[in-house]
Amino acid sequence: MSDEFKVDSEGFTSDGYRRLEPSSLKSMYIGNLIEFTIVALLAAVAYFYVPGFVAPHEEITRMTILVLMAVFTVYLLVGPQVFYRRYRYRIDDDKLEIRKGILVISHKLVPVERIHQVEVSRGPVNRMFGLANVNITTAGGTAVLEYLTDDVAEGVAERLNQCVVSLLRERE
Amino acid sequence: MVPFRNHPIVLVKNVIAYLVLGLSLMFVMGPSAFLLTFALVMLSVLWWLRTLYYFEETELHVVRDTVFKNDTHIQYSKLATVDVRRSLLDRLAGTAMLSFTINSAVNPNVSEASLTLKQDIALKLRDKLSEKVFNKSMTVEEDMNIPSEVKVSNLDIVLYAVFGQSSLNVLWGFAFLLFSLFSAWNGELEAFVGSITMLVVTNVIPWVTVILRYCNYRIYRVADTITVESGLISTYRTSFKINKINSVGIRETFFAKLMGRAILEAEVVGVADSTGRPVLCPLKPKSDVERLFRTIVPEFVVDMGNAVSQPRSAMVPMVMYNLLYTVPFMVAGILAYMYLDLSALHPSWTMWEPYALVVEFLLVVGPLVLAVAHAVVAQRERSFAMADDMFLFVHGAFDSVSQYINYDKVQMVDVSSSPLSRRFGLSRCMVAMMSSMGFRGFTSGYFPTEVLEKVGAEVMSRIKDGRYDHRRYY
Repeated sequence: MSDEFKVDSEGFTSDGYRRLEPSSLKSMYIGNLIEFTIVALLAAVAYFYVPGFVAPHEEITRMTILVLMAVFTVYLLVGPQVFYRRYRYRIDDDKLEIRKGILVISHKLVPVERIHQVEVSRGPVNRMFGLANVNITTAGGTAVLEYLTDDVAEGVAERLNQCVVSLLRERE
Repeated sequence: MVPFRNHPIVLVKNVIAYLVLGLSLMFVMGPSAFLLTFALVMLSVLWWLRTLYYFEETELHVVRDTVFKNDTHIQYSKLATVDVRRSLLDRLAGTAMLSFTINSAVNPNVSEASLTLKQDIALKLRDKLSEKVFNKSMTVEEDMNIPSEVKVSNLDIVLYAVFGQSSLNVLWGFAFLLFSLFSAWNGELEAFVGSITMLVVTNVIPWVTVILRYCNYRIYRVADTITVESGLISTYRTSFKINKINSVGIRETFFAKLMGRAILEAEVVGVADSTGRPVLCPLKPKSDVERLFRTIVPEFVVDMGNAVSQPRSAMVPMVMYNLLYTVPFMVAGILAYMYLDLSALHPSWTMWEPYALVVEFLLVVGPLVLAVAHAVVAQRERSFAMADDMFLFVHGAFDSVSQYINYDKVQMVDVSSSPLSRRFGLSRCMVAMMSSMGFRGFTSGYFPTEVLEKVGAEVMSRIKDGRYDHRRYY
């Protein structure tokens, strides 16, 4: 792992970013397992009931389904590891930054000044592991801080809300 | 303070709509549809009677005391636009509808309030509001005397209707037209009806809509307020302040480029036609568009002398990703060539076999050629520049847009790189903006990551050092 991903005892990288808790990996894998089950069922139907118009080429069709499922499975297995290792976020007094991605790596920057609303949401899988997402809404769309532990999510939402409120007070 | 109530024509419009609905439901629900229609009409009467509008010193106050009570306060300072619209029914009744839209990304294409009055009262009220909202004191008569900043002929509007849409749409229309002519020539009635229907739905209806909307086009600016006026049957008159514009774009479709023409568009919340494009100048010669750009929105004209083109290495990810898109077409072409047997599907379709071969060939070769051509054109078109208050993204390929964006209106910045572009140190930058239709993202071409990161840095530094002042945008 390169130095930019190493964290100190406080959980911060050298450039002040925070990484995800290991429990987030479990949530990602459970989510992927659900996804896999649905896709595998559809693939099984396609595999065993090859449509009539490709029936003369049953072998090739089945082989294609198997190859696609294999690629999808590898992605579901490896994806969370890459996502977990790459995911970093940083909150300053004036901005929020998120760096993430599996194949496409993105660096999202949201000025606190543009934030309209902050919301903490917990899906059923995340709830199993005490995790939550923080949805940050601006007039140009929403940025999401994913897989934070409950207390961290609440802390982040509180901090961002305070920033927004103090900004509004300054204006008044 | 004397409150305003909607003109009875609004009630008539609603009652007509409910009667039509009731008649349609009669076939499904039987006589009980009558009761539902009666209830809706009664509610409509109640809504009309008990909705009152108070134009106070600093805000518009709308009070609705019907089944649901509603009390809405709209600050004049928050208003992005005050529109005057006249439908056919309004013209017959001598009324006009005033609609008020605030600068918000939530339902930006839906007015926060609308009020229909006798035309003379509506226009006088609009003038009064213009003074409050736009600091512009001028009567309607004076407004009518201001010459348009650009002369737009009916031919310009027709050309805009046909070639202002995306080139792909134009090509589809052309293909449907050719196919319908070909079918007619061969006496294939079913194919002719099918293709002509598609032509009407995908092209002719949008052309007519645009022509009706933009006929009699007029645009002018008084102080910092721009007014756009147009319409043939229904008329539209929209005013907005220059500080409500988020970005300005010069759009050139492929066919527009062939004609040396361009379109000037602005992103203003609440000012959009059905396609989401708020037009400052319909398709006109590019020199006219550039002149209008300099005169009507000079605040957005910046010296982009330092504009940089995409690095040559950007060709690699562009071509590779374009080729990825071609794969499904090529596979479809190859599979069709190998397995498609038209005579097995229908004996009379054997006559189409030579054409099917051409289509299969085009499916394999066409996308390949297009993929490379798209990358070459995109490489030539795309550029990026940063100036003091604005930055420029020239994006697209066959259809391209030069988007002049105000740093202070950027809501989020996302710089992202794919596995291929990372090998060359290149990324793309997406800036999320509030637009006329909701959220809209503008994406740059491929540029060095550290160059694109400067956009977000500049947005932040303007907030920090006070160059961004929220009061400028009220």
